[in-house]
Amino acid sequence: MSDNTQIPAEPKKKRGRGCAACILIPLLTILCLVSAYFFGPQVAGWLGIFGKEAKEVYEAAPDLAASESLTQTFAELGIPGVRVYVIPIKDQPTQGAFIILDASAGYKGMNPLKANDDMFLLIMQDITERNRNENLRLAHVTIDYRDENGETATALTADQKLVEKYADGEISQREFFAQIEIDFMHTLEYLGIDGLLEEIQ
Amino acid sequence: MKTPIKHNIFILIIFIPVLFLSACEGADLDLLEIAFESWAEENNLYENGEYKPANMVIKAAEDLVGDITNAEVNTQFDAVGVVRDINKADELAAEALMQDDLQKMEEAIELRPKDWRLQEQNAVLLGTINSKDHVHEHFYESDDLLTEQIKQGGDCVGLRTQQLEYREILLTDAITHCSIKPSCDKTYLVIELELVQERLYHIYGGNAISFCY
Repeated sequence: MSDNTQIPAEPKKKRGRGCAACILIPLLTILCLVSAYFFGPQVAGWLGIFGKEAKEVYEAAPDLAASESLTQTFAELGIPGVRVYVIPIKDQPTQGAFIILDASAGYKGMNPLKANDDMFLLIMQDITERNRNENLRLAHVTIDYRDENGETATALTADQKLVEKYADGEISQREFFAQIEIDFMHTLEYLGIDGLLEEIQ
Repeated sequence: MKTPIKHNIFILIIFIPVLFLSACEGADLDLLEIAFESWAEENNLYENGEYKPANMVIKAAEDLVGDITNAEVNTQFDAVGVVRDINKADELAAEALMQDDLQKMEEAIELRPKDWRLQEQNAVLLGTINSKDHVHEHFYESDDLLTEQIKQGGDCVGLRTQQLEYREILLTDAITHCSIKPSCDKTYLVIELELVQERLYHIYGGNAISFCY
């Protein structure tokens, strides 16, 4: 009799555990994945594993004098539609220069007057000179090409040391461009051809 | 083996950004073409007229990882969005000052809470709408943010001068704006302007400023 009472009880317990596990394990997995997606980068950022978000790194007010000085570089060369923002980098004694070449604000290329000079080199030399003379403390120069709708078409960034090497004639233009960084993914995004990468695979 | 279609896709990926920048003149197109080509060669995506599909996918994956982990270069590119936030916040603050709209000013500060310029504008707006009690609170907030900025580097006297000159322009504009409104009392703004100008003359005279010590 006692055997008869025990036998039906055991499978019931097993079923209960099994069902609970079936629900809990996927639930916990989903919860972990969602947490990792939303909070992972922030936690990793706090722990110093990941870098900080751009909003935090460049949270301070732009350096007005430095921004004005570098904007003058373009104004003096007769290049319209350009604004430069020099923004301090958080927890570092340096600043980042962001050059906005904006077709929607009248930018028509670096050589609107069709001069024979290498305008790009002249610009880099002028930025270097101002950085040295006015102690702008530049760490990098980032160029944002905006189209006629004001949308970013492509962006390039270069370490200031590299800019100076190019400006001082230590490296050629080709060597300079070989060492810069191009915003590959966002350029593809702008073109709407990110799906092509999958196709290529 | 690479198919002609795939080959064309790579040409598209590498050189189409150049074509899309229709606003740019010939010199810029040439420059960007050199930039993209040199960059592609250096990153092993293009060699001897041949494109490397596998490396292209690896590069895209690397960029995605860099985006997630906030690699330094990706942060610099993301900061292009920060510049847009600066523009947006400046526009909102300018509208707020024109329309005496505290709500718009709050929206601007929400976008860039650590930007001392917005605290300056908020203080002047409060002075304009006669909420004088909070004016100094926001000027002090601006001072604190600037102090934080100076601690990380930069010339204290230069940055303090920048801040006071900025305040001077804002107050001058606010007084002009106030003069054309019948209900606006500009007395307080004038007192603040005189105070700022006094501090600026002190700095222009080469005197030491307590803010930096």
